[in-house]
Amino acid sequence: MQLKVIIVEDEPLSRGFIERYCEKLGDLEIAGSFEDAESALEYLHKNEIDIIFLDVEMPGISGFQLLDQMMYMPKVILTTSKTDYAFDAFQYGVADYLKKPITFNRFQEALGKIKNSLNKEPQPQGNLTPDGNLKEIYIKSDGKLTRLSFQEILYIESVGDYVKYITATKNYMALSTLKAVEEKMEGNGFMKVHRSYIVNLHKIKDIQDNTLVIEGKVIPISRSYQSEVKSRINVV
Amino acid sequence: MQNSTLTYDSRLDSTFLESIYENDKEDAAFGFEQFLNSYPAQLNELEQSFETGDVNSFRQKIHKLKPTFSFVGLTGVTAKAEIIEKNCQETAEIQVLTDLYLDFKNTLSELIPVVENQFSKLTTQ
Repeated sequence: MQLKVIIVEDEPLSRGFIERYCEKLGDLEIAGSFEDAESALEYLHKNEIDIIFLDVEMPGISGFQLLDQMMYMPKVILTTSKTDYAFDAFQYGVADYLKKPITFNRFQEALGKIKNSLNKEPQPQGNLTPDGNLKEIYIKSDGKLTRLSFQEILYIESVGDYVKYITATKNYMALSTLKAVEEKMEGNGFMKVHRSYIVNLHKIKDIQDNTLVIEGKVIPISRSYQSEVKSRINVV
Repeated sequence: MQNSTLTYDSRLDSTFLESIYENDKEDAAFGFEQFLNSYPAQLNELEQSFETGDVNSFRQKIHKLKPTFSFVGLTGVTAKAEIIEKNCQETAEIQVLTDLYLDFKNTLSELIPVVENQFSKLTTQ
């Protein structure tokens, strides 16, 4: 199985070695090698990968900040010259943690773990639908990253500096803005209907002129969104 | 490529080099070459940060440089860089770091010819 990887590492020598080790193993395709997290994020917003080799401390966006902004979570191997980040690494559920300089044996061991775990997991459907849309999102809530499939999200509500993701079984608070959520979920069956609400269009039960109902919750529709809501649903 | 014997200059940390290159001459030559190609620009950036007195920028640059010395067996220089990085977190005045920085630079300049010589041996051995 050819695994698609990217490398995010600001230090050229370490980056060069990771590239070299990937080539040595033969079953890894280097989809990108980035010296800063910003460029990597831009790539990750448009492309799906299997593994990310991620430096923690970089100028600008750090490795952990990059993880916070990702819409899906590939297997993560942290590369760092410090061991201070072990707790954070655990919190983010990273697959492995390599201390620089990285030896080929240690590199192989980390990849071996990932390959084993991939073999044990049910074959992934991927994070994308056949038509290329995302079907899940990771949110940082209660100090950990939680995966939510778009199918289970009923609606999202803005609450001060936080957004609340409402599902049928649980609500999740995450530090973010509705605008940021809207940008990530655009084109995936979600729509902003009010300055405080984004709704899953597939979950709407009833619509009146200026309100809609999802699982008994009445949600206001701003006047400016009313015609778009109607155009996005199948009215017969 | 595995080689029967890879020997390193005694002024380099051969134990560490053996642990990362595991007697692979091509990997070792790659590491030395990459280091020799990249360190002058990085050192120059570090010097600029020191001259402008920006402790945070200086700390970020020394943090970035720190692991690279170990790739060529200069683990002692990595240790000196680590001490400077830690001291950066305790001061806002770059002058406080002058002695440590000078010691770091002097040690490095004494050892660069050793690294160059070792690279030459790796490519001709």
